[in-house]
Amino acid sequence: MDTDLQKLLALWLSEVEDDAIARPLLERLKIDNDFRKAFVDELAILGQLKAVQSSEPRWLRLEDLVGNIDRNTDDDAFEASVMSRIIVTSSGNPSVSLRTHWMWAATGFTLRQRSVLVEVCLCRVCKSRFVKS
Amino acid sequence: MLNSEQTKQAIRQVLAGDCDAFRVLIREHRLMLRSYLGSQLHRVDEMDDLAQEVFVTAYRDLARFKIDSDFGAWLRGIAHNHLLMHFRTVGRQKARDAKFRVEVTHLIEYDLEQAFHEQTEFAIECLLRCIGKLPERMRQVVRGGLDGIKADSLAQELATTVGVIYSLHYRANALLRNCVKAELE
Repeated sequence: MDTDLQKLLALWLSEVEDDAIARPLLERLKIDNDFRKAFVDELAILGQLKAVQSSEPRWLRLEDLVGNIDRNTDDDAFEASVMSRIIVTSSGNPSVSLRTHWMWAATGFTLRQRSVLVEVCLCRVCKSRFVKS
Repeated sequence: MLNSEQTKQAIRQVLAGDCDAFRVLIREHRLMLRSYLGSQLHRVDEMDDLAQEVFVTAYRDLARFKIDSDFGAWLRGIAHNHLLMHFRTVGRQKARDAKFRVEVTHLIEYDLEQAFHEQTEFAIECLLRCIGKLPERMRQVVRGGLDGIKADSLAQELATTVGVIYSLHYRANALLRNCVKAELE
């Protein structure tokens, strides 16, 4: 590794303010194409590593302007079509949906009653066995 | 890099008033833009804040963009201006450091643009797989650099010298470039 490249990277990656070191490196960066290319290659890959290994940021200002960035516009259209169908179905025949609601409620109540009955029976069987032993 | 059909269509949609279509442009270019900014900034939060500023500026100035020119290059141009402004603002506290950064940014502008012009998002994503293939010690050095650990602290941790750390990082970067090249082929 070129020592000047190492010095320049060290300077770039730190916040040390040292004109005596920086000046000759800047001069070489100006005139030496290969040196500049090597430095740029290093910076480019460092930037890519930084971006690819960090989590995706939440850009709230941007989301205020354009909405949720990771939501597809297709998803929005799909969601809107589902919602409109739901609204049409429920407003089309309210008595049907109300009847269905009560039917499910009644089924739930019956099942709950039965499970309580089963629990009581099992409890009695256990109790009688326990008393016998 | 030429604009994809998706990019062109999204630009037309935004210009026609559909602001939601700008999300497509963000999704297609955010990794490249964050990488470009990350190559010139230390901290990830600075990189992401500035990337957001660039997208906001691009959204507001989209009418000025010529549909047949390179949208990625246009974004990087905005990013370059934002970077210089950022260095000058920060430079109020650290004037000499800012002067150095502004000078380097000017000197490398053309070469950096060339480097990113040839870059695709897919190539950047390949890096993740390639990091996993690095020898353990190199992976530690790459990871340490991203976590903001200074070279001298990393050298202490790995019981070696600062020069070796820079050299390891340099070799790791060369291996990563070759690995990405091989993946693309």
